[in-house]
Amino acid sequence: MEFETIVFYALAVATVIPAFGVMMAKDIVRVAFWLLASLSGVAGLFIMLDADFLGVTQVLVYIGGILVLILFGIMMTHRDPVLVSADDDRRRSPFTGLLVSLMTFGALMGVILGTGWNVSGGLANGKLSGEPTAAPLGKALLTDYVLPFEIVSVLLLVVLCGAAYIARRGKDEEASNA
Amino acid sequence: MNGATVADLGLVLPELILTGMALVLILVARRIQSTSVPVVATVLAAAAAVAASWWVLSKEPQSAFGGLITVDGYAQFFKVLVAAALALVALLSVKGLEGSGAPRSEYHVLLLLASVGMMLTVSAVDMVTFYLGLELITLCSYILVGITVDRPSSNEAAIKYFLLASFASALMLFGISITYGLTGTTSFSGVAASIAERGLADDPLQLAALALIAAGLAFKIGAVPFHSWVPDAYQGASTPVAAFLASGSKAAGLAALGRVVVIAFGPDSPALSIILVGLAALSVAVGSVLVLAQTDMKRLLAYSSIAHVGYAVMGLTAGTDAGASATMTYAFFYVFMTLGAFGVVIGLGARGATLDGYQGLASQRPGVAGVMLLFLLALTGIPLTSGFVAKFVVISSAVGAGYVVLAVLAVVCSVVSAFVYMRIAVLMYMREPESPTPARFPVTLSVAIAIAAIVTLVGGVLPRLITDWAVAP
Repeated sequence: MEFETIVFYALAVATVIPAFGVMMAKDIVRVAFWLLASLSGVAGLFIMLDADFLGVTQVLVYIGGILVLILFGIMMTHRDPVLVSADDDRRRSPFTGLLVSLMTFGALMGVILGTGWNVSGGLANGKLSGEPTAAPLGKALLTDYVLPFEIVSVLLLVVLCGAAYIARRGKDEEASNA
Repeated sequence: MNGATVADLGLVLPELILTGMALVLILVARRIQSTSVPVVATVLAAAAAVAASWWVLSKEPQSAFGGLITVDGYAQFFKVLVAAALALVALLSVKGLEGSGAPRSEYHVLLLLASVGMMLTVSAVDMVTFYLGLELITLCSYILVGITVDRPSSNEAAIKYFLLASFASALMLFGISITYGLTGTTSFSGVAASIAERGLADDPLQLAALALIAAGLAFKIGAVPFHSWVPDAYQGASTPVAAFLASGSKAAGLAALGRVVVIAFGPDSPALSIILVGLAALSVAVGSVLVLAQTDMKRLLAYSSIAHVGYAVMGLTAGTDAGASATMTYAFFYVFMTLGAFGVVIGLGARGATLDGYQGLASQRPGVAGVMLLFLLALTGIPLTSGFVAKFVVISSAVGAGYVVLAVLAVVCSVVSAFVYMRIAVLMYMREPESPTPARFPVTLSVAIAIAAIVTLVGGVLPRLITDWAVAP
């Protein structure tokens, strides 16, 4: 077995097993940590596929940003961080969920394997170039894709204004109640 | 991809004007005490954007930013429509937001930036700008729906809208990424070329991607079966916001759908025709039937908007340029008639919120009852109003494409929905008033309603003014 294949399966296991953990864990803090492991595995897969920038972004945004946000959210809101209560488990049969997910999996796999993907460049002959992607991506973002880049800036401005407004609103209400 | 040059900035001048005005309003938000300053600023920016979009097109149609957006007659038509909707909604907001506690400047900033999103969406010829434009619209819309502080229903509507719309956006993004994976390009014309060249028209994955993108867009324009958020969001939002969602957002969504249908996935795709016919038939039927049961005016206008989106989509089922042009005409006239109707609802205040409030309005305020009657006739599709012209062009384009059953359904549903519009007319003209005479409308509101009424009347008598201008991409 080639070295690459071994690394791939190692990363795949490191992604899938924590994903089961996310599904099974009942404590939301544990879910968050399982998610951390799973997302790290995905970052490794990205890097293996020569998408080094995407891999680093995955670490920065998902692991660094979103997970920390989830943990902060738990710390600030819930005192009892339990995701599902025992009653919920009894009412729901696991088989329906299993059936739906297996059907989705089957349909997706069938479609993915049966499709002629339009692969170009280094991927077409099964070899990766090994070139770093951050530089060309950065160049593209500020030349060819400068308009989408600026639209995203406006979008983030809207998000910032909206978040500030909604958060301030809650504070005002508390102040008027007190 | 040819890269972007500084000269391209001139081609997005309308968007730059609106964004600039929004930034100025953010900076001075804390210093503005009067309610009229942001309104005047927004109307001026909208007028400048209309002038700019005319100036930009004085040269021939061209693409900008390396083919990410285009500046053509189609984009100009919808940009003018979006700017008009923005200006009218800003005028409606003067009375519509009275006592709601919504921050004036921030509210107008969001209106302006949502309009920027609409303008980018209507000129997008690439999946990237198309998606980002739509997201900018919806992000502003979430906050606008939830902007009224003191109403819990507004918060609830905003959260529901946010959850459902995020889901729809995710579905659409999934469809876009599959399309990219299959065709290797994000530009609409590139997608069309790749589909034709590689024979992907019947590829199951391509069909799935098409369905996902269509579902996302159907959600944005509120077509059945992706309509469930519409009545709740309109009812929870303050009335001018509901008017904005019903006018500008729908027009931009329809414009985007038109470009995707005509350019990217091609008129020859049978699957696309089936999807569009289904969306149109379901929206028209469900909207027209459910509107009958409504007594709350905002919900009534919401279900009416669902039915009207169905009619507008009918134009696209033909997949031809004439059909797309019919949809453009429909969107144009619908924006003005629905803004007019929302304007009357806003003007009547609490009384205008329910059907009963319209009892005996004609004997108290004949002028108001008269314009409301005009908008109701237009929404029904009675000749000599723009509503008739709009329905005529889309139904004849559906007949031209061979969808006779769909056309018959549309005519039947328009008769069915006439019951509810005429019920309001009967209440206004044939009942004795039960509530005191409503106060006079403020000037801003009267101006907005008058503009909407003039477009509705002139469009009904001289439709060629608009239909000649509505040229498909």
